[in-house]
Amino acid sequence: MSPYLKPLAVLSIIVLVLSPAFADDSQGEKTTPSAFTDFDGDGIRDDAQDTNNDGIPDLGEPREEPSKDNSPTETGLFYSEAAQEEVEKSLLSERDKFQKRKFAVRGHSQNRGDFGTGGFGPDEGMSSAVSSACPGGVCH
Amino acid sequence: MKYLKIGQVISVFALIFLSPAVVQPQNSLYDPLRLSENLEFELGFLSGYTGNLLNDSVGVEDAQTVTRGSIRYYPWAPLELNFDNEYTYYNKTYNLSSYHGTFGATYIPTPEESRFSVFLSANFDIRRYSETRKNFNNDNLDLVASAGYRIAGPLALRIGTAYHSNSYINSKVSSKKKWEFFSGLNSSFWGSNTFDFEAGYSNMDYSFILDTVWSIDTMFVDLDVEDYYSDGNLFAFYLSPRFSRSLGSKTGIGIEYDYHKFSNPDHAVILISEVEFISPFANVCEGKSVTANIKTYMVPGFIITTGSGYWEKQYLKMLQGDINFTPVLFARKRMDFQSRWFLNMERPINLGQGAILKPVLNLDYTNNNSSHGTFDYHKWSVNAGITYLF
Repeated sequence: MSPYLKPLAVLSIIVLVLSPAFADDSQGEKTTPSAFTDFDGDGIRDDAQDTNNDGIPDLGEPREEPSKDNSPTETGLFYSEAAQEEVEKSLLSERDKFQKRKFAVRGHSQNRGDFGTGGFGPDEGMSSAVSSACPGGVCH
Repeated sequence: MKYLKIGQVISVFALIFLSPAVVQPQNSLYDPLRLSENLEFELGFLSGYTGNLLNDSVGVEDAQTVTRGSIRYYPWAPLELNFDNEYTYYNKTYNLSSYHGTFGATYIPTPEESRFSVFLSANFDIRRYSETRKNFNNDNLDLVASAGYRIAGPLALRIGTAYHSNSYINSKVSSKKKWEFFSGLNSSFWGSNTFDFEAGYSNMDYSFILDTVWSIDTMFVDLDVEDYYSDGNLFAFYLSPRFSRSLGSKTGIGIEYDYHKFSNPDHAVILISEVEFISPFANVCEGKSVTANIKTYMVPGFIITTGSGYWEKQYLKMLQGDINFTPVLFARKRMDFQSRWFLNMERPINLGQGAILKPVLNLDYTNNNSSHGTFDYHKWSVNAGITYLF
């Protein structure tokens, strides 16, 4: 192995970690104002907005502002953001509310431990057993 | 024992079902208008081909089709009930075809804005093969309880436990029960860098042959192989650091290292037949691995994920050959060096009113070098499927 390979690898990692401009060009946008979080390890910010729920984040597309013309909370004298949020929350289905809770526990609902090696490979689209064609339908 | 497990499952579901009615009597679970918007259906179909179905040196080529149907019901914001059905059919090795059914519940009592969060889940699943492979029919129970706490900004801690019971209903020696305990932390730093560390401990009860047994004799002595087995516990721990970061707003990378170590495997011997493709010990191993993934949304409308990994795995001591003529003393540990690469492409299509169509295509290559020639293999797999969510 070349003696330059190891220093080169270390240097590459340092450059990768310290490159903020290259890192996330969505940081200046208003659509994702919160701190960067990545609990699933894919490198993409977890809270990137996905308006149509298709699994692909909007990624900088302008957010569609809800119409406020006829909003009762907007026309009233005592309008507050908290009240607006409360109204929006009450319109959600139980399914939507559960998905929000599920998102909040994404950091600890799964673990990487086992007696073997797993958790690698295609996991999009269908169940892992299906997508990686494990023998007998069993993925180890 | 079987009734005890069924009782456990019923108790968990009774507890979960009854609790919303007690806490929120005004929330009608049976309102038909609310029922439709709180139900979710999933239909899936996938067809694929693999150049080495059984993951061994023989290299059996085969094609398979999988059909899947799932229903998820949300009677109350913290609760999800799921019922999944899946049937896998193999073209040539058709006796490997199997049905897999799962019934489960997930309960998340903490609201999404809370710093402290709790996750509870219970799943019971069965897998049934054709008559010729009925020895592999198995029932599984999975229970998970975990909690997380966001300390400040991007720093979060987690702790949890998981119980897994795997029961091979036609075999006394293959079943196992496992407890896992884990904890970890996740923190983002310098913009979009994220470091995640997890450590855990597992305890599994299992049946094995002691390496002090001289030989197994089922020809001249009135004993079955099962009579040579002893019961014991296998302990293991793992450490898993992971680094991830974004490369622009549409691409991310993740690199993970895993180290798994048994603490007391020295005197345990298992038969080689127990580590074959659908057996319970097929992936009970210690060792280390490095994996890297890249996920990108750069191609408009597509989710593309690719990854590569390298594993060094050491299995329990295995007895190879005819058990009546091979002394247990000859059992040797199996060492595997495996590398793998995959590419996954998904194209979600939004059909409106919450319905989504998800076509998916994936390629997978595995190269495995083993100290036991039986497990020297390489394989290609290609699969194409479609899922309809509504």
